[in-house]
Amino acid sequence: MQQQHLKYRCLLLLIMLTIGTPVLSFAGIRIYEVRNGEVRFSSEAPKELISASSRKLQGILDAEKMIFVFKVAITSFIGFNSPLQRDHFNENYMESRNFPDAVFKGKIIEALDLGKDGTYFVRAKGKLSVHGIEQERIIKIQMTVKNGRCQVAATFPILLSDHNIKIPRIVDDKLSPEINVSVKATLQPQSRS
Amino acid sequence: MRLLCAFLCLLYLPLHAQQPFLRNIWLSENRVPVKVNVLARDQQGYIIAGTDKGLFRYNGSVSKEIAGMVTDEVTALTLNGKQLWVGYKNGRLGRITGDSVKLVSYHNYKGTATVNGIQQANDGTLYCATENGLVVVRNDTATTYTTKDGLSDNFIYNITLLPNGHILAGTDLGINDIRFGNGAPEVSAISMQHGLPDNIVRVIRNNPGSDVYWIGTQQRGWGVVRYESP
Repeated sequence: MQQQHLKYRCLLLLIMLTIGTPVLSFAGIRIYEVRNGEVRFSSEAPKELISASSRKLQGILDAEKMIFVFKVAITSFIGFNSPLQRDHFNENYMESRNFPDAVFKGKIIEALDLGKDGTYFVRAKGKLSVHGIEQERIIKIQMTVKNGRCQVAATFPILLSDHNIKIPRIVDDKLSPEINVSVKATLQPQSRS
Repeated sequence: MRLLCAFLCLLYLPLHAQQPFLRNIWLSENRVPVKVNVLARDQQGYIIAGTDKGLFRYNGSVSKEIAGMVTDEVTALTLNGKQLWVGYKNGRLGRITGDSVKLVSYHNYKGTATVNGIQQANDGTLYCATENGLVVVRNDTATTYTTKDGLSDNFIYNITLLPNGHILAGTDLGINDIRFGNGAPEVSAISMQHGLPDNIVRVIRNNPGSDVYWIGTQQRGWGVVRYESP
């Protein structure tokens, strides 16, 4: 009787593993993560043009719930016009020791099928947190789906005053109050490793 | 020549009859700019302004801050009969009583999500549009309904009560027509797939005396929907 009970349990476990594995695989495909992501920003002021970029963009997208989180470390931005300018960017303006990351989390407004190849123009609505200040933003995004991968591209402005980033009067002709940001990323199904 | 010059100068004077009436009203005594989110008129006819610096009452001559325990940003104002309800960005709810605001608390109400709109039905039930679902208060007990209960989205901008007892909620994913039967909500939603100009519906207003409701959207203008009474 006990042997039969044990055999029944083993059979049940085998069935669950057989059926469960493809279910788990399907569940894994629903999460996409950033593989190659780049964030660029530029400031166009009368007396100076400043630009920098970061290839340390991280993020995930839940394709079923259409929610996402993207994050980039402020200290990962490189470029600038001099190392000193980069230091000022981190220490004086962004205060990256206190506010190490810029984060955008929210949801996709329009219906989207990432399983179907094509180019989609959607809106991402969420909270953009920069310099410790959160602002609600709606950002237009171009998503190009091909062979299971998704290319994301977006450009949007950020007002420094919206995030309590102050421009000293002495440099107000060298730093624009509005920064142009562009994001490009490739989203791929999350690996289970 | 002098007369001609004088005549030419007069031509550049503003023609007052063609100018719209505009008047700046400073709400704070020290003229600090405030962001006005919502306006309402109380039962005495005074204008109530809900701002990022709190509540102000304007009597046509001077404005006065309405004292309250909460100085957070005011995001919702509704006059129901003689009662003026206040909703805050921090999720708190209050009632204006005389010259002050009294906060209200209910069982099961956490009050953490921004209150975007308040409506009170004839039976006293309070409905609150919040950024985290629809809050319904009956007999001092709050129940929050979200996507788990069938709503298309949790972010609710605005609600309107229909004569048939339904609630129309403008959300980030279309309009939800909500009916409460036997406690559980029955929700039917319309979105861009059904012809809405935009999924983000920020405001819904009834055209008085009709079944027509004007809707204002985030980025694609406005439209009209019809919800017929039974």
